[in-house]
Amino acid sequence: MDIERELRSALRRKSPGAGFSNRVMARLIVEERRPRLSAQWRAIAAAGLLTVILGGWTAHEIAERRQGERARDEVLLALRITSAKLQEAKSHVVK
Amino acid sequence: MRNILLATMITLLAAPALAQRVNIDFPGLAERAAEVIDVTLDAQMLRLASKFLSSRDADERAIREIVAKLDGIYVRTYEFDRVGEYDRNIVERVRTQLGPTWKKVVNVRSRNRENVEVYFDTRGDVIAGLVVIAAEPRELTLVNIVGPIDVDKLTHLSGQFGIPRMKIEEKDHD
Repeated sequence: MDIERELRSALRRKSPGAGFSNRVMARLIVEERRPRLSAQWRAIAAAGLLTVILGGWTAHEIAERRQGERARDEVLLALRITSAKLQEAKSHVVK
Repeated sequence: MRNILLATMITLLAAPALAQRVNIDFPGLAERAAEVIDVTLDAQMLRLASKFLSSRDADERAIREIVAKLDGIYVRTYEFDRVGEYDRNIVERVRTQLGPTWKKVVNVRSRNRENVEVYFDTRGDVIAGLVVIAAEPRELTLVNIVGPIDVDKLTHLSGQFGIPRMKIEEKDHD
């Protein structure tokens, strides 16, 4: 008979207590907000990734430009030296 | 069998291109020099340099056209504090690398001043390379330009950009 009493006690209607609906609503609002925050973070992450890619690309462009300009200067220097030596040879040949 | 033939053909085709490159690097030379200019530009660097040569400037445009066909530019200039500080045999060591396709076009000999030798690597009507050896008592300059050099364009370039106006004739002073 104790079991019957215990079951009755367990299945007895209970009042949820004051503020229960408020707590439920508050939880619902939090749950609603979560996806919005996640979208923001995704946007931030995407922006960060884009910044890293653009930064890397820009750095690569700058490095390539510097290397190219250096190579150009070396071409001009090499041709100056070559031309100077050819000029000296020519001046002897013309004499 | 087909692979062997293919490999042989590739080797034969590659051989002339490789033969144009002359070794102008000699161990210990730079260490003894007071001043060194070392320019090493392979085909890849030349293509990159071409991108940065102005197409508006006539001189740079002409240089770009010449450089576009080249496979390499190698220049070494050594200045020494004292006379006789470098081994004159280096000049001979450069000369001995030049095969039968190389022809001496200019040879200037001076006892006290500069000796200049200019060689072209001639492949039929094409000049496939250039070597300049300029040996002074206190200065040594070695130039090796690898790749087809268009003499007409070189002549057209002459007088511009400090490049001398040259009439190129084949001369043998040996």
